[in-house]
Amino acid sequence: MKSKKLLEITGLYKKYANKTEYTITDINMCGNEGEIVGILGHNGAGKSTTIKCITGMHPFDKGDIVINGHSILTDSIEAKKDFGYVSDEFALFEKMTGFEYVNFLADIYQVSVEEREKRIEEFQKLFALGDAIYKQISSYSHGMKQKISIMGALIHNPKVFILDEPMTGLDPHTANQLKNFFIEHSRKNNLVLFSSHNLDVVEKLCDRLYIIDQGVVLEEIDLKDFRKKGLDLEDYFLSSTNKVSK
Amino acid sequence: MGIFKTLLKYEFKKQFAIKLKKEKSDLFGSILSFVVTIAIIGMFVYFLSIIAENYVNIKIDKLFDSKSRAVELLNLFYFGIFLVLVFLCLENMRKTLTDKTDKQVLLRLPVKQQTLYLSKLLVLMIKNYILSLLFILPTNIIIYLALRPSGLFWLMTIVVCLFFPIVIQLFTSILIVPYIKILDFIKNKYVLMFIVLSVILVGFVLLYMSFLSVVQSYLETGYIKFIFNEEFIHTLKGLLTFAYPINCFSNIMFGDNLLVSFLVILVSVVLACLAVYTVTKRLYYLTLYKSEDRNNTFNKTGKIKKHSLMGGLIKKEFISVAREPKHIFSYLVVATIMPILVYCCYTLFESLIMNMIGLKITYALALFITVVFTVLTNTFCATNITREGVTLLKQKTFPVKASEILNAKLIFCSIVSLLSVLVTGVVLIIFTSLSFWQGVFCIVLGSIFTIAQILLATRVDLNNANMTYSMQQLQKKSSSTVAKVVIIGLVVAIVTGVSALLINVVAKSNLIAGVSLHISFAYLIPLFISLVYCGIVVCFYLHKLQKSFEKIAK
Repeated sequence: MKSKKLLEITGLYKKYANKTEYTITDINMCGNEGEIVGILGHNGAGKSTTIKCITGMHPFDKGDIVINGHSILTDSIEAKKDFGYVSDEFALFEKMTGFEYVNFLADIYQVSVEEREKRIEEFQKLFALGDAIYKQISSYSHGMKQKISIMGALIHNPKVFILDEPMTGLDPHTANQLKNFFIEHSRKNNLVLFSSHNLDVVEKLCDRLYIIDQGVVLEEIDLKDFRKKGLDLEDYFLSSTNKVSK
Repeated sequence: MGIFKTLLKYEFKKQFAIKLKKEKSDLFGSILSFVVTIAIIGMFVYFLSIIAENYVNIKIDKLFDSKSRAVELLNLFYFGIFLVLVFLCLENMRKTLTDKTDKQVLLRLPVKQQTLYLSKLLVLMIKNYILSLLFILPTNIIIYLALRPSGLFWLMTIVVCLFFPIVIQLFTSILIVPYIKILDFIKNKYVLMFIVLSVILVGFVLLYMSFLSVVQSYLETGYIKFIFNEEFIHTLKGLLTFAYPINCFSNIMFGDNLLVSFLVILVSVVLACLAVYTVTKRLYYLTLYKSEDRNNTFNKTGKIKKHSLMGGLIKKEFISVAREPKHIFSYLVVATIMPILVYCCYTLFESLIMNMIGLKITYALALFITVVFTVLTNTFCATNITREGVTLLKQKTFPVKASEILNAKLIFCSIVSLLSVLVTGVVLIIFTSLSFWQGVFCIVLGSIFTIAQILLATRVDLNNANMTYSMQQLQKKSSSTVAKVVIIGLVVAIVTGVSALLINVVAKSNLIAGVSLHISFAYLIPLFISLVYCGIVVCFYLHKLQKSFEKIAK
């Protein structure tokens, strides 16, 4: 049985107001149920811009993004209900406690009390948050902020889980928990999409991978095939991106 | 020595040079604030010189002793300066001790904590000297002009300018740790902070009002009863005898008790050095690390309550305002004490107008003051968008319309501001001679202005918000937004209030021959102006709202 497309990006162009050239050009991507998809690229390659366009944070100039059958352009509210997003910068309401923040997001997605109770308890255990969840976010460490950000993004059990550089600054234990969670979440017929410049993480976790450089998708790689062929991702990535640079 | 010099240079640049650079880029704003500052200082100096001139010529117990009066007055002025400077220095020192750059950068470098602190302390001392000079020199000039003392006065001015800042440093060093502890304690208790700030602000308002009533009594009678009162002077003399070591500075200015006074000042200087040493040696790290341990815990029960979408957004607004000391002060406290401010201004100006033109103006004056204070209270809303920073971008990913996010802000601000207007109206009805319906009319007009100001402020802020700016640039942008919103609001408020006042005066007194105006115009014209203003603002607010919200991007 063919798995359902949860994310489809077609012909995406984005130009920033203060720039003369497009930051991303003709991006085409997709993500299916049960997949973990990675976006790999150097710093400034256009990974974050692509993700910010997907989430509706940034308006774009051409193309369309469809999330679980809803276009972010024409049906943005429904499209936004279907994803949870963890940004690269901690855009958290620092005056709230972790508990209040997660509940605030649950109010936004209108999650029932029973469901949020169940999920908060589950994540509290998974991330070993303990009583820290009742403290103000402003007092949290980097790792704690990342954990609460992930909890908030998953409180409505989204079909698509989008993360921008999720492993940056995480301790090995939390990073491992997060990787396991990605696998678990994708197995429940959901899609996990994340950007990274860490080749190891991408190689170990992803089913498919998009290599982006200078705002253009250079390669779409099926990592299962890739692994079978015994290719080295680092060499492949460096040779792909070097070709463009030259 | 090399490290110390580098740190000193860094600290000096941080405290002085950056600010100078900042001002350069906003030349108009700098000139305006300079002119306003000079005008305020000039006004105070002028008024204080009048007091000084009259005070030194006063007779106590039928005796004329201008020198003793001058010492008392100088004592009083120095004591005031001392309190203000200690507070300013405490704030400067607190910022220095709790500076995040120290923890994140400087303390990781191979630098001794004492060296780091000493470099900061030296720059603080320079700041302290500049501030002291700014306060002491005008005061001494005032006293000199009133009494024309001998050359010793100027010689002693140099001594005061040299040692006064050191005494300030002594008290600052002693008070700094308890000061930080108290602030840390209050920081976690927002309700307590709200109450404390309200009480302090009401205290300042009452003090300011009593100052204005002194001005008023002087303008009316040419005599200041409150200050030129024998009983007051005796009490003052008694209290200032114990104001060590500050009274020693005023004593030496006129050569009184020179030896004892110098001795006390010298002891103070030695104590200052010891206090600074103790702080440097022992308390710096203690304070630094203690201030980091802020654990604000809320809702430990973990009880979950589901809110509607709008309810959740409004709660978020409330938390972000009610848990930030800056916002508590600039909005919640100001809105809470607005009824007191309006009432105090009303009573003051009512009697002033009565004395000036012999007419008792109630309704028009109440309306004028209410709308002006409504504009001032709602200036906070000019940061509704920018104060969110990157979290506003995050909200663009929520399955919520832009109008709903903005409506939550508008509803929250409206609740606070409309309640404030309502209480103001009730206070005016109960405590002044304003009739019930006149009070209701003030509430209605105040409410129209409130809505208009909140909408205007939010939309102007939305138009100016650009998340490509750093937080510093955003703050700078928001101050220009605040200025725009205040100027527009005040112009309309003044037009509304003055029209009501003029119509009221003309209708009551037939001041202009051949012009007869019905008193109802004093209601209809302000209502018309405020409705037109509100209508224009609503159109401005709604024009391409969604598009403007979408445009906010990094």
